Amino acid sequence: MKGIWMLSAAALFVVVTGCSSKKQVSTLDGMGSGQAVTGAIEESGMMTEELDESLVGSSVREAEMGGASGAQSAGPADLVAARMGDIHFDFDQSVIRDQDKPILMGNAQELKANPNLKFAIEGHCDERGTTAYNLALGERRATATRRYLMALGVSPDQVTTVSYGEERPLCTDADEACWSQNRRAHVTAAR
Amino acid sequence: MVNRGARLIPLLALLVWLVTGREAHAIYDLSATRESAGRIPVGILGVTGAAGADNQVLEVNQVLMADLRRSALFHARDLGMRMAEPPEEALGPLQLREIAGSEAVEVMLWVRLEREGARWVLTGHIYDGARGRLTLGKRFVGKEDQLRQMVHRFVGELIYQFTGEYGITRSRIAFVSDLSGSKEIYVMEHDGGAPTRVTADRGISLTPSLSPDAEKVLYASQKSGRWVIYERELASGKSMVSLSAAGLNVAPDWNPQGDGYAVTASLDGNREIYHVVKGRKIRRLTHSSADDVSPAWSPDGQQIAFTSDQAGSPQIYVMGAKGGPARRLTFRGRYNSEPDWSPRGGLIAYTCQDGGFFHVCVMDAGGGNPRQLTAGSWDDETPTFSPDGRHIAFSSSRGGKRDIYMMDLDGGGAERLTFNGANNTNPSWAGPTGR
Repeated sequence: MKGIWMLSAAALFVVVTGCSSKKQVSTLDGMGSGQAVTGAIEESGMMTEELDESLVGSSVREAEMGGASGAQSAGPADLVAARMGDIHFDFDQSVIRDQDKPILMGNAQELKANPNLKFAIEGHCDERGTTAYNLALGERRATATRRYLMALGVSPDQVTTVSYGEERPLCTDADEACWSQNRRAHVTAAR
Repeated sequence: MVNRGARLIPLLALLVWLVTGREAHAIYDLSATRESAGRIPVGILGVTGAAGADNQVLEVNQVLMADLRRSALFHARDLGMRMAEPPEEALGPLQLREIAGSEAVEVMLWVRLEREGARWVLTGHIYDGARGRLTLGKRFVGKEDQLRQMVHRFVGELIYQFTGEYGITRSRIAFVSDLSGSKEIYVMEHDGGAPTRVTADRGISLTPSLSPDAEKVLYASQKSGRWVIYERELASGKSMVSLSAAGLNVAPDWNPQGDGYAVTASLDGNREIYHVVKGRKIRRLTHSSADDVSPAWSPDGQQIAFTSDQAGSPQIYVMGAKGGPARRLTFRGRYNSEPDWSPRGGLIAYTCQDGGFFHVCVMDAGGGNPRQLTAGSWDDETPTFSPDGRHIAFSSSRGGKRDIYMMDLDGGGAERLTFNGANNTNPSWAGPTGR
């Protein structure tokens, strides 16, 4: 792939010729612009800078290895997760609804019966609303669910949270029947 | 790297001229209109090329006319002369003056396309109609897939003659596309040309922020299983983890200096705004029990607008760049989010709700005069100002799938920029406007 959009990344190599008033030549082919036209999607895997503290750290390569989500055979945690039910939320809300509390009680029993297995609670939103706000809302739903499970005696070490915002809808019709299914918290085996 | 602060000085001087209405040579009224009224009349003396270059000439002509129209400065029309020789040699100043007078144009342009081995040479001339003289001649040399870029550069020179800036001709738009099957970061020219994939993360990558010099992109990716901020240099492809705090790390926004960014993170529990300074220090800016997301810097770096649901629904607030008390700016509607501050100050664009749909709104930076720029039974989201503050790009589902569009500041002149058949969202527009 040719990254011609790279051009403006490189300073123009401007030669002012002496022949005529204000006549100039600009070379756009990367000469004089160094590394201008390189493959933009090449994965260099290089770390360019090391930041301090625990916030930061791994190189891209490490992160990519951690992110591999290939086909994995279902483990014991997957089988337990499959028995746990989803709960749902009102639009722009993260409050646990009364009708969903029995579902969480059942989930808490499953979790407590399998204390050595780790799980992640996914928070999801419907398609309406903005990307970043929905990522925040999804996290709010996941943490509200986790907090409720902890109140039911689940160990905090056993469950993490992750937000998918509006990125992983269960269904894609533009109506409330569909949206209400997508506003959910879902338990999976921890990766 | 261009320092944005240093660039602001001539811009402010220009604004003072405009606001005070004082006449200055070569400074024109920049008020944006789509029609010819108020625009500088430009006559095209010819866009021609060597034999066998018909397709390339056609493309150059299309890009030239589109760039001139998009500049909101010029009203261009072809004078029907199709000149193949340099006009100052073929005609001379007296005849050029005569043509400019009878055609009522202030500026005339001439473009010639030649092949030079494997490369192309685009020669562009600019003439002052009143004097009939060449004011700028420039040769651009490059490969065939750089022809669009050559035209952008030439139009940039023309805009520079009148405003002292290059306008949007050197800017780019970063965005998210699911073209490859997963959401990845892409970058394209300001007019939608040369869309190029930047990441191959095969996870979910979102909320890109293009650096002020358009050479780096910050974005949030979930490829590691958690939301982490990555920084990538576009030219080299070098990438690094920039912020990987516990919880969520999303929606970065480069500060105007380009040496740090504001970001949404939840390392202290709920979603708050932080400032990551030079990639080393992280400073917490908000302290509410609500969700504070989507920070956007003011162009002077003194303030940050953001979205907070502290009043029970997402609304836009503004605070100082070092935090402190926040002031609510939006009061209309139950959903106002994703602020973006005009690079010329003065305006904040944001995503608002109208009935069941989301649209682009804009207000004065102090919160006054809110108005809705788009309307219809579809969603328009994530407005981002062009670096010259004359346009707004956004994503829209008006065509079925989501695509990136741009429009004028009054909501008119909407133009679609992406045509890849996929969903394209989260635009971030940036780039140098000065030399």
